[in-house]
Amino acid sequence: MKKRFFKIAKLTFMFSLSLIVLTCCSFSSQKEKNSKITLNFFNQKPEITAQYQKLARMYHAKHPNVNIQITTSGQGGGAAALQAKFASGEAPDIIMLGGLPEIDRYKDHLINLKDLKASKNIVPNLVSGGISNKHMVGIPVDLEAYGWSYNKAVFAKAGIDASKINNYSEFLKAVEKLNSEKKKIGIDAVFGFNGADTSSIASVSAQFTSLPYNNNLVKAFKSKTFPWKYERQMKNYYDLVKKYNVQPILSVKYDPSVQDLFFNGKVAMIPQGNWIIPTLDGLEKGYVQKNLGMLPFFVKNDGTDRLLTGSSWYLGITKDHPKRQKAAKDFINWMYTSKEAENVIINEMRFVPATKNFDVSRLPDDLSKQIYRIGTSKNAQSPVHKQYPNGFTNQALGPYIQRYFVNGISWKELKKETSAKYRQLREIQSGE
Amino acid sequence: MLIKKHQYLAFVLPAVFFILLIIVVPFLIGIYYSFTDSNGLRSSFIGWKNFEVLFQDSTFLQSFWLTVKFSFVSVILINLVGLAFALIVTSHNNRLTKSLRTIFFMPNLIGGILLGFIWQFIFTSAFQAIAAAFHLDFFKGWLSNPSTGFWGIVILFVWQMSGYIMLIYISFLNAIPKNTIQAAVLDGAKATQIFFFIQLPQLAPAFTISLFLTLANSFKLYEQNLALTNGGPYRSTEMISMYIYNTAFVNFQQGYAQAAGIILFLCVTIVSFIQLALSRKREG
Repeated sequence: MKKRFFKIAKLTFMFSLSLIVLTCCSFSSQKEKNSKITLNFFNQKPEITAQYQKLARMYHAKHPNVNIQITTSGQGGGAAALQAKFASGEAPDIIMLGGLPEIDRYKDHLINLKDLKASKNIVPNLVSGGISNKHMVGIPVDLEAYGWSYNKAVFAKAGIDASKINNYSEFLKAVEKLNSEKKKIGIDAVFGFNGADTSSIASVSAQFTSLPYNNNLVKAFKSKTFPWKYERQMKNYYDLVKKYNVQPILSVKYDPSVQDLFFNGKVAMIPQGNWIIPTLDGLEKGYVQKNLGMLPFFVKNDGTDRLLTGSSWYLGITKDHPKRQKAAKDFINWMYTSKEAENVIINEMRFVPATKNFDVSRLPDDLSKQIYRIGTSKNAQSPVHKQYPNGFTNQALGPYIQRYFVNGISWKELKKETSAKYRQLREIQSGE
Repeated sequence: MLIKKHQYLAFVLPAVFFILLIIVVPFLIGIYYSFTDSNGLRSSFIGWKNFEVLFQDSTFLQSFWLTVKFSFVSVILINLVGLAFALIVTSHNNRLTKSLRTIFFMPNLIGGILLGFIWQFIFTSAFQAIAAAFHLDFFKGWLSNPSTGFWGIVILFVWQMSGYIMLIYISFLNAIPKNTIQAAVLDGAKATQIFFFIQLPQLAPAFTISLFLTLANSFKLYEQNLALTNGGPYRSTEMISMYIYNTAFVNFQQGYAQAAGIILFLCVTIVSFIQLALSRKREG
């Protein structure tokens, strides 16, 4: 009798154990309370997580009912992590998306932001980067400038006045002068192009591929061909970099190129924009105001070339949790229109705001002021590298240009391969 | 009586349920997705098209061929080095050989990602310093061209796996009856003769296991590849697993990547079966 009882007990125990395990999985999603709302914000820029958290705390202090939970995943893994969130049914309420290919992937989940207070105030030439099916579903995170960052101290030592460089031949002359006086001014090489990073290669390529689209990013996203209109200038610049860069060029990486080569004045120029400001000022206070300037690429070479200005990232709101949509909209409105939020954005994130009619004098350094003026001017140009097909940057363009840098491929082959890969990826991804 | 008869079911069923849920079902769904144009969120059925395109995709074929080359080289090297380690540590029984066992096995305890970064430091910084100090061109620019990138991964993987394979050989070497060796010594056999005619034939089952393990692992290699070279320079060291991951999560062509995954699965299965069948035959 006793034995039999034990057996039954053992069986019941095993069954209940497996039942407990199973039920645990299904009960983990709790009901939301109506009064308190937790917004999930998916961030793909790890370097500004702390500042976003600060904004979230400030907002919570004013609106005790709203909690903002920030999830950060970036540096290559962000896109996959975001997809995992959607696949697991835990779609975030606010998502940060990089470019139209990514926006297109989530278009069925995004709401129209046209009537948002924040969207009415966006710098005009950034608007098309957040449009899907003629609806405005994304608003730009900030205004970024693309060109050459140069070290003012190095230029001064070589006796070069950057404001007098207004076309390609003057730029070439300056580069050659810097190179010939390398020892005297203490630089290793003129350029610190980080050839290891395909993302920098892509943003530089945008200098030569953006003009044909004239700020119409939707058109760039839909284009079935890679624009080679300015290829002559493109080749000139790549050959120049190849010749005067720190070697081996494919071993130069982003962090060392900014924090060591550029910061310590070992190179005169790197192909980066105002996103390096927080890093440089973090290393030495006031460094940016004193030492950092930017030069455009001379592509049309007719005196109208400016720094490219655009936004790599856009914020969108999902329709997966209708109850939380209003709170998400309110938070975004607050981020883009209140003075206290703006102060964190310009002084701590060191962003140039993507909003119209901003009082330039509030920006903390001259370069940011200059970028805001260029970005809001009539002939502002947006870069299109974020509209390349998914994977084109690191699977095709990047590797082919890296090969070109080490003479592993001719310019003709590069053109042929890049065009073919562009068309192929675009066709697969547009589902046609 | 009834309870006793079916008692094992209570123990087995939960495990079977989870294996079905976590391994078998996703595998079957994966086979279905290889016939779709899934981008992760939306998908529609397109038949055999993925497979047709795959066999014309030069990057796929290139990374596949690279993986085959890598597997061939690393299987041979790992087994040679592992066997050599095993012979060293079983030759005598003293403190030195005991500590050597630990040292040889230690790389296996470190994760692949970490190993990748450690070796990246060695290949780029340490090698560079050696090159500068002794003016040896051999140590210059490692990982910056396709061939040093390839050999870098081979060295890393051999270093990591040899210790593990050594353990298998040790256990089989210890199982060889001592009297056969003693008899051979009495008959005047040299050390090389003892190794080739007595130890090696009795190690046949060890080869079966070791070859299987190294072959399967080198075909699936991913994290070492990611941490050490990340496919660079210019995708020349991108092996098949990395190709599949990038296609799925960078290009977002997940149906296509799934098709490549199925091909990889078939290859690993077929090669493993052939290898097992051949080694079993020799064992018998």
